[in-house]
Amino acid sequence: MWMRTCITYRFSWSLDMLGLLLQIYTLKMIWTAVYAGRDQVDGVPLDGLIAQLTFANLLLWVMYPMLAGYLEERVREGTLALELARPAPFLGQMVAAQIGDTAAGLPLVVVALPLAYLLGGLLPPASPAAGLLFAVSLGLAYAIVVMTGLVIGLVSFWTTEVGGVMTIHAFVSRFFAGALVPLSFFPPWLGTIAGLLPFQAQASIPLALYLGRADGLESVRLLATQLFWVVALLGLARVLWRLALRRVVVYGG
Amino acid sequence: MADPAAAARWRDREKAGRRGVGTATLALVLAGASLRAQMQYRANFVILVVMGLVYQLTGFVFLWVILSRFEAIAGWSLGEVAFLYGLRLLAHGVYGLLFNAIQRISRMTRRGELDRYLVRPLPLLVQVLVERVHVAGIGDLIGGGLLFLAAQALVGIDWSPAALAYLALAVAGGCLVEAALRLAINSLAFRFLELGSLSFLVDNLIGNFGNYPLRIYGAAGQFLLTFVLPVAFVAYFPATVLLGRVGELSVHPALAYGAPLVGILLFLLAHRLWRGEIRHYQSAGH
Repeated sequence: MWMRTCITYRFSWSLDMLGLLLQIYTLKMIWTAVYAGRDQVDGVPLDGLIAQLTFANLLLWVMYPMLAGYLEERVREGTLALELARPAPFLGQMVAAQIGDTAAGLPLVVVALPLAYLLGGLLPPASPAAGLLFAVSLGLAYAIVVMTGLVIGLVSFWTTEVGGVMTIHAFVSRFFAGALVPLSFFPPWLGTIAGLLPFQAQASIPLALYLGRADGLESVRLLATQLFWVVALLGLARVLWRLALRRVVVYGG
Repeated sequence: MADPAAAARWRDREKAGRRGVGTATLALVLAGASLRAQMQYRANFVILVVMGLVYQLTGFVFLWVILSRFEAIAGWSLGEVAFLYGLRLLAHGVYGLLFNAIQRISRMTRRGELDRYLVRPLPLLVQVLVERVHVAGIGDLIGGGLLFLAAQALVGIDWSPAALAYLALAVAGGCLVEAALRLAINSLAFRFLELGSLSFLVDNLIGNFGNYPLRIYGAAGQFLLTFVLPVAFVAYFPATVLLGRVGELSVHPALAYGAPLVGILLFLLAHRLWRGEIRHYQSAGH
């Protein structure tokens, strides 16, 4: 049902896509200027870099956690009661809405993909095995994105507004996911911070697997890192939800 | 009017009215009221300002990380890129503070909310502008100001009185270019009603392209960003003037020096369009 609601807003989706393509094009232009004619820097070739950034931006765009906004809207307008009364767990309903939202966006990927290829660049997976590992990793990355969105949305029980937080999150997550600057180009201290945050697990890890940058043991470690974040964020969301529920009761008197 | 004192006060006010309290005075009073109203929610006020600040500066972190690894973007050093970025933010901050409400016009038109302004004795545009002062603009201004101060120290600009005057004009001009674009789009709202998405797109374009040396987009990109969507006049042209980089432009340097003038011109044009389009306003329901 949510999927249908979202398809109705096709126009805003296509504008959204235009924003994505502009972003990709700008990144390509900036990095081309930065490389200034050099073929590669630190063993990173320019076309590989642009392909990586294009792909990362596409991934994060497809997986955008709308549910933070849904949750906020329900908290602010008090329509939450309706969903709470339904015979299905509330957080599950929100996640289902998110999945519907993502599914509605998938047909647009067919349009976005060739355009992103033209304006930026894309590469095929390093090997069939890399493609398979990527698929698994992408599933985990999606779970992390959804859980992050859930946590942000739950914060609205205390702040009632998460619009600003979401805007900043959109940038911070892209930045630390390595979708603007590859993490390997970060200054060491910033790279350490990035490694401790869940955002690298949203795009940088799936991409490393896709491009075959990790061997057997390393790829297991990367997938384990992702799994850790899924569990940790799920735990955090559940704790927040329990606390939030107590506040709902308080509102009702 | 039984109370003579009240009657006297009324007469005074009438007289003041006849003498014509300037539009500017009225606008200032209304804007002050709006600001005070928003300050009532002090926590929210501070959060909005801080959010504006954080949001704008995070964008710069991206450029800073690139430039800490590479020395230049298209020949522009970190200091120079920061100078351009800061200048853009300053113009955007002034725009946000003074003109942000333009973006509400298309929605107000759709909802038929403009009626009440039409019966009041102050130009419609002024009323809309002062009704809700955009607090997050203060954050932009602080962020842009800090970045700009740091950047100009880095590049070591010699501030002659002429350069300072040009800077002030450039910020005003950049703000007017942005305002003109928004006003033109929202003027069309009287006829086409729903244009929020177009406004959003222009936002995106300025935010995306305005912060970088336009040289990176090549000749075609520069042409589009100068003559189709005049982003170049917001900060890039003034920055090349102040940094002594007009030599790299693919247009005549006079165009860069005249950027503030272009801002004024574009705004006048947009205002003309607005005056024309306003006649197409129909309250909702027609």
